[in-house]
Amino acid sequence: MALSEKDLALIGKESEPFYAPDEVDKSMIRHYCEMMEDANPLYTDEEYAKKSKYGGIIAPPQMLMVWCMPRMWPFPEFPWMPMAELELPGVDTWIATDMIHEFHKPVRPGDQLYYIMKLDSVSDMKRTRIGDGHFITTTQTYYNQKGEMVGREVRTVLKYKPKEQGEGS
Amino acid sequence: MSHHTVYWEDVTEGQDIGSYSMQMTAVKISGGAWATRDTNPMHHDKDFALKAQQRDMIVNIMHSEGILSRLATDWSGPEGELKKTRFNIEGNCCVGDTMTVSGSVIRKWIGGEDEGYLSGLHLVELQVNSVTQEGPFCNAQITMALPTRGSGS
Repeated sequence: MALSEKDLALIGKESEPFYAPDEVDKSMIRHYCEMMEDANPLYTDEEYAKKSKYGGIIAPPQMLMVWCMPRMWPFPEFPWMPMAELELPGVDTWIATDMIHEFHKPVRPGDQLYYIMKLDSVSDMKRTRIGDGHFITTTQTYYNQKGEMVGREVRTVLKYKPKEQGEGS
Repeated sequence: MSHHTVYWEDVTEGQDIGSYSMQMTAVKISGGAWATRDTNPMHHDKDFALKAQQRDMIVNIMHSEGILSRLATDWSGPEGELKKTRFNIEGNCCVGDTMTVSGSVIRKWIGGEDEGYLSGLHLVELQVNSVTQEGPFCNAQITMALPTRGSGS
């Protein structure tokens, strides 16, 4: 199925800034490292980090996206996002498929991050192992409170209609 | 606690960077989703995951990326810097699966003038793969900057 005119017009559009609900902080870094079993001392060992070239704890670079995940409650008011405006009738479940991250500057406890999202592309309906859906690619550019670009993420998600049980592929 | 350092000069293309395995329990999977602020029920609710055509609750993408990135910095030591990851999901990893992560060096070079923020850095690209007993789960190409013996760091 081809895209609606409204959906096509959203491709290439950029969002307003979306702010992380909290500053980057040490306890969230530790919770993350705990689940990854990541013992990198730059993330959790004050003494080591202080003597390193960073002069203090840094967040795992790959946590970029984590800081800007929306609150579950109270649910945030989102700025205008082209992704959220997509109609894509008949698909309601989504799953991330691939992701490119670039890390430009260290992220430190106390940083207040935000990102701007650009809708890069939306595929026509495709058949996949788990159901029919659209592949949606966006670029999120992340900034800190000084307006410095700290990193960038290009992400593809599949928004799909799950196959019924027993339905062939 | 002392930490090892891998210097760029000592790395060879094709070199193995080690491996580890992790037992993925329901607690680990939903814990990894919470630690990455991912509220998609696919990672917390077995019934939802089954209806969505998964075998069970699945490990989320940010958790997976963290586990793969860890192999890179475990290998390099804390002086190795993560610069870029290209991450791709091939299958899934569910409750009860054993996830095994392994990798090797696929490229070693100095960042060229046309490579923007990587320009002038001593770089390696790692291929990191994650599999379960069911087959491939996800993989990543991870670019790192490494210290050089001359840099004194």
